[in-house]
Amino acid sequence: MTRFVIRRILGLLFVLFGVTIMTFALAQLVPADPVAAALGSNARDDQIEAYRKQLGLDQPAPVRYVIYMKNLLQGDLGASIRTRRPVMDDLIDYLPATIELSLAAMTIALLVGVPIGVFSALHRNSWVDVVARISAMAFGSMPIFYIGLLALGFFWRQLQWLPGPGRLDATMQPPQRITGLFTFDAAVTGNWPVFWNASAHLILPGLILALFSTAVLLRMTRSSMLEILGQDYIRTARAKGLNERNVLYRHAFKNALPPILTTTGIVFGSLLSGAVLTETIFNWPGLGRYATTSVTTLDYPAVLGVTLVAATIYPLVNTLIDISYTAVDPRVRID
Amino acid sequence: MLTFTVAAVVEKAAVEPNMGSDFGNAWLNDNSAPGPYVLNNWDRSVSVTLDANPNYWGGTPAPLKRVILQNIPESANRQAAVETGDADLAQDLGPEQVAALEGNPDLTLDKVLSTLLVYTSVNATMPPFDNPDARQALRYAINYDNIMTLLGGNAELVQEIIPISFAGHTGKNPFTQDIAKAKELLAKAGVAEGTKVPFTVATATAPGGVDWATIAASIRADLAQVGLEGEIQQMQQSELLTKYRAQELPMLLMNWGPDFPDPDGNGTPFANYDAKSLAWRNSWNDPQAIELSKAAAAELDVDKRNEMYAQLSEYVQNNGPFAMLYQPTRVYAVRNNIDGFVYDPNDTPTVSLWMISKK
Repeated sequence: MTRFVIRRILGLLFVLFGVTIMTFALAQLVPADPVAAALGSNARDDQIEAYRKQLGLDQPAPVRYVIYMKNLLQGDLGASIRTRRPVMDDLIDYLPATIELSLAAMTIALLVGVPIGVFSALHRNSWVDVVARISAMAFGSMPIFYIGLLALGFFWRQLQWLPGPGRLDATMQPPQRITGLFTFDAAVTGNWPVFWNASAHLILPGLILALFSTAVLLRMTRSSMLEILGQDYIRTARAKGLNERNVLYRHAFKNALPPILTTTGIVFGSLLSGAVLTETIFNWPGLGRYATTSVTTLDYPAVLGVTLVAATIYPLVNTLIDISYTAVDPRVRID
Repeated sequence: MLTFTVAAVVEKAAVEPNMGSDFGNAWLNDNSAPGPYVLNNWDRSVSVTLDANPNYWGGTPAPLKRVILQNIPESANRQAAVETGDADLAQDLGPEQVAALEGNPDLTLDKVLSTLLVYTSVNATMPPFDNPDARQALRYAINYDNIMTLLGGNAELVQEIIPISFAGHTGKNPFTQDIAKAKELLAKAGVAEGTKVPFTVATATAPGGVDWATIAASIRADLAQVGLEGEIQQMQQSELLTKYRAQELPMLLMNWGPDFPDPDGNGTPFANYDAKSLAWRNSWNDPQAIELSKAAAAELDVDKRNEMYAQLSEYVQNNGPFAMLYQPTRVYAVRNNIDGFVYDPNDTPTVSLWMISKK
């Protein structure tokens, strides 16, 4: 186990090193000047040159890369050209919003997708199965910007059942910061009005973001369950008189889990690296929005920072999933 | 300088001890308190919360306890926020939002002028627009009515370099589409039928709420009518600016906002090549325009100065590399419980918050 984790971490470092080189090289290829972009169309040439010098961007690219790596090893991601703050500070501001939204979406996807998937497999071609499959197809292929605006228009503007965009009502102050996850921080500090408000704000974007993941998980659960239910050992289990519950949970579902876990890992990883459209429509100050603004303003220290975070999250989630296999399937040894 | 958005007065005694290495920039991000309201919280890209300043030096205290400026990027969501009453005031509503909100009894719509000017320009050293007649032909080729229709009332037609509400603005819009005249001028300039013109536009939305590409498509159709082939090339605004600054673009679509509310804020950039601003970016080096802009800027007699700017405007209008298109307006939705809404284009934010009270 320890050896496995160490190997994975070494692999991760290698990936991150590659990411820095790639992103740095790509930034050189963009035929525009980030400094001029940051200062706007009215800036004079001498002002641009002065800011360029201040940012150290007057040095040649290889020199800047070495400086960047030196700082990175000390945990310094450099300063954003656009926000003029350390990229690390920006990430600490934006990442928790994305984590909170992804957790909400993932919870919804797991609670809805997996049980319905199991039910669909057990009652194949029943009306529940047909409805589930059709809605999975429909919701899974619905464009988020469309259904997101529609949902806001209906539940917020018309019915006024749910709050509008944003993480909190404008009149509410964020809870005292512990993790940056509003619901968690509010619950821990006993700030219940903020807790309920933040939870209500999570419902719509969480649901919208969960649509695709739910569809994927539902289909994966269904097909994996169907495959296992057709195996000889299930027939044997039934033949030896085991009750259906034991057949389902101890024999079928447990064996159907590994592909579901893998899918969960992939889906969760992609949610965490930022859901740009959902974040834009719901005014969610997360990583996806930070990344898009950074890219359009050529703020490459920020882009590098976001890329590094995304490149860390993916292998990290997958490692956790790999470890969880051992709990599900005793045949799997990860050493 | 202090009348405009580029600077604000700070208290020396407060800022000096907190200067750090950046002249207090970082400190001021969290500690700004110069007026009737003080900064309570700045949640980046989400909201700015302002509280009434208990130590305000100006006499009358702030009429509201708290003002929250929320950043809502989707204009449909801004519309919904002011409809539901989640917001008392919404700014920058697009033509669709205006149509939806018109007749709503809970609010009024206020249309105000920005200080921006949107223009298309050509490089004065690259053929075919190195010839003044070809540049004049461009101004006669454009269908200004069509552009105004596209903007759905979110703009005023302005064909001069000084915006409405500025001293020196003449209100003269001499150009309407005249295909025959444009063709005649192009023939006089010796421009062959079917000449290709690379035409660069930014992605995203132009001031006034219409995509840059939509306006460009309209102009391209006009060019086709006079025998020019506009080749539209879209790029990020930052990339466009880099090329523009390097004098590399034969034709483009852009906007300009003056640095300060004086005709010189536009006169020098549009006319003075040596200022290395717009005239320079379009490689338009015209001694007469340079002299006029310098003289007008230095003139102390108000009437004489306005007269000089009118002269400069007219000169650039007919000789320069620009076809000025419009001055965008901005639409505010103000709910009925708001009193004292005043728009001030020279302020940041552009709404005078200290004058607003709630019924």
